[in-house]
Amino acid sequence: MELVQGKPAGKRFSIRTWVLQLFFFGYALTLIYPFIWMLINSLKTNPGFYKNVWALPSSWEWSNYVNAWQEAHIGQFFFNSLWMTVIGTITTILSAAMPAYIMAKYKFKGSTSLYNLAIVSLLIPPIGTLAPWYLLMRDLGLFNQWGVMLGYTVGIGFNMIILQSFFRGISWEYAEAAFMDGAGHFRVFFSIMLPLAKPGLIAVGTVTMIAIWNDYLYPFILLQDPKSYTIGVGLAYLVEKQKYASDFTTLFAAMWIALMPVLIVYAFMQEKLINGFTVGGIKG
Amino acid sequence: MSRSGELKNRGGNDKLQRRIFIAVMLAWPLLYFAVFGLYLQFETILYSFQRWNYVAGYQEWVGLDNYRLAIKNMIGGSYWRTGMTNTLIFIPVNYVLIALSLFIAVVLNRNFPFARFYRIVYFFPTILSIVILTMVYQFSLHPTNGIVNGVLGHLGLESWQRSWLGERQTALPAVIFYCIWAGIGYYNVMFTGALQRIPSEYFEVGQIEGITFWKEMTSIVIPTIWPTISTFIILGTSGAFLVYLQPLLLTNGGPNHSSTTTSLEMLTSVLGPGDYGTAATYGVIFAVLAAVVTLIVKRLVELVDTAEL
Repeated sequence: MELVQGKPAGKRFSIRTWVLQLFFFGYALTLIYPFIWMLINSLKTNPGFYKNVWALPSSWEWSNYVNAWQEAHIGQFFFNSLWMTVIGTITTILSAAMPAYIMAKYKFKGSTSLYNLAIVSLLIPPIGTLAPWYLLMRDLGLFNQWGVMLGYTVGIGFNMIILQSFFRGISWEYAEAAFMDGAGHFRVFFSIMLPLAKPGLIAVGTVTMIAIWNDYLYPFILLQDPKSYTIGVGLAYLVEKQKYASDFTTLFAAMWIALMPVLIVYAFMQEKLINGFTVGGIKG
Repeated sequence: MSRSGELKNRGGNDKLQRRIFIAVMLAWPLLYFAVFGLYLQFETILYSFQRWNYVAGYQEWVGLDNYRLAIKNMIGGSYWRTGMTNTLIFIPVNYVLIALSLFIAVVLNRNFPFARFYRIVYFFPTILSIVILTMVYQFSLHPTNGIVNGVLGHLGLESWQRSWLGERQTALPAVIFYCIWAGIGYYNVMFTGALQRIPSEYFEVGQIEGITFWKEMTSIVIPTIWPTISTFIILGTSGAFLVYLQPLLLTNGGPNHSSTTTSLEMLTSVLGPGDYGTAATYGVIFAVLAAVVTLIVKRLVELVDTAEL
């Protein structure tokens, strides 16, 4: 019975499957090909690029990468982004894990209002308060990398909501046993609860890490000294510059340098990364 | 015996330690919320009644002048009106994006050939910097060296070639197309996650009964993952008010403000002329508008029942 019904259904879908396959492949191609096009062109000389933007390079110009790294200062921007992402991820996760833990495990008057605060702050568009924020950051002398990283340590927000559900899933018996042994609240949090919440911290951490590496708004506004640019701001600045200098091959090389770390991370931990993003959706 | 006595003795001390711990743990998040949440909201409202006078070097109270001017600008033909219209256009754009992503996620979930490959490729824009994505997109649409015009040339469609991001008629559609092109991956992964939590028996029963794709969509998929869909509809609504990086990086709102949004104009008026009063006024108007629209949409999506799993 099943087989009889299964076959015509399969045939009915086949043309549709082909059309869909075409669309799906076409979309995938628009996501892949431009990057390959840029990779190919990043290996040409500038005159070679203008002569034919479609051809393969006649000689492989790795010097474009050296140029981008040194003369276009992408190397400097790269390291700025690197240390800001490392420190920013740790402080951001910690600032969210602290209220999340209190929310999940400590009941006191007003402890539920933390959740409401988080929801409210998620719904108000932050761009509205841009004007006083701009002046406040200026007055506090935070037009620098520290100001950028400060902006990430929101604490009461999306990350908190996700992390508290992880803390909620950890048995309180671990803590009670530690209290019996004379451990304090801080010891329990740092050396028992945080390690137990590791899956949640990794999920939130990878998403945060990528968000900070890719962030554009805060660095764009707050970083005014070119020496302190992140790779995103540096790249956008290069794009502007190339409109007049027309040294596109170096620009493409710079783009590939910025792309590499994310590509490598993605290649090695696709599943973890995608899971990290889905974890947020579960609670949503 | 002695043990319970010990615990009792420690009781008072314990309570104090517990309080200290809670206070320390919440100190930073609450301080941050007080400053960057409450204080800035309060300041924004104050700013909206002020004007910065650079000649005299002080800020003055101007009552409702900013609001009067803002409303006049939004009704009249200034770029603020274009910005507002464009911002509102992004609400249905986000819905189309959500519908398209859901469709793709459902297709990929039905043992579609190469589903894993597509999922990996489609997710890619989600983890890329918006600077890189807009740059790639810009070069693809480049008038002389771009891929799109190149392909059109090969197909003999020279008359279709244009400066996509540089012309009034095509700049906004090109920005919208970018948002869809780059946005599908994120929603797709979210919906895939939600779909994988539907018990597979649901689909098997449907397949035995030989239901069509659309029937499966409307009677199984949408009812069971409605909480996820409705959350994204709500977030997509409020998110439309936050579209500014895409036009900033693609067209800088141009040509002649044709692809601008209100948020982008707020950003430019702060970073450019330092027009803090105007920016704050539109900030207040748009926070209210965004809240009202989002709440209405929230009520509407809550009218739809969710199937119990």
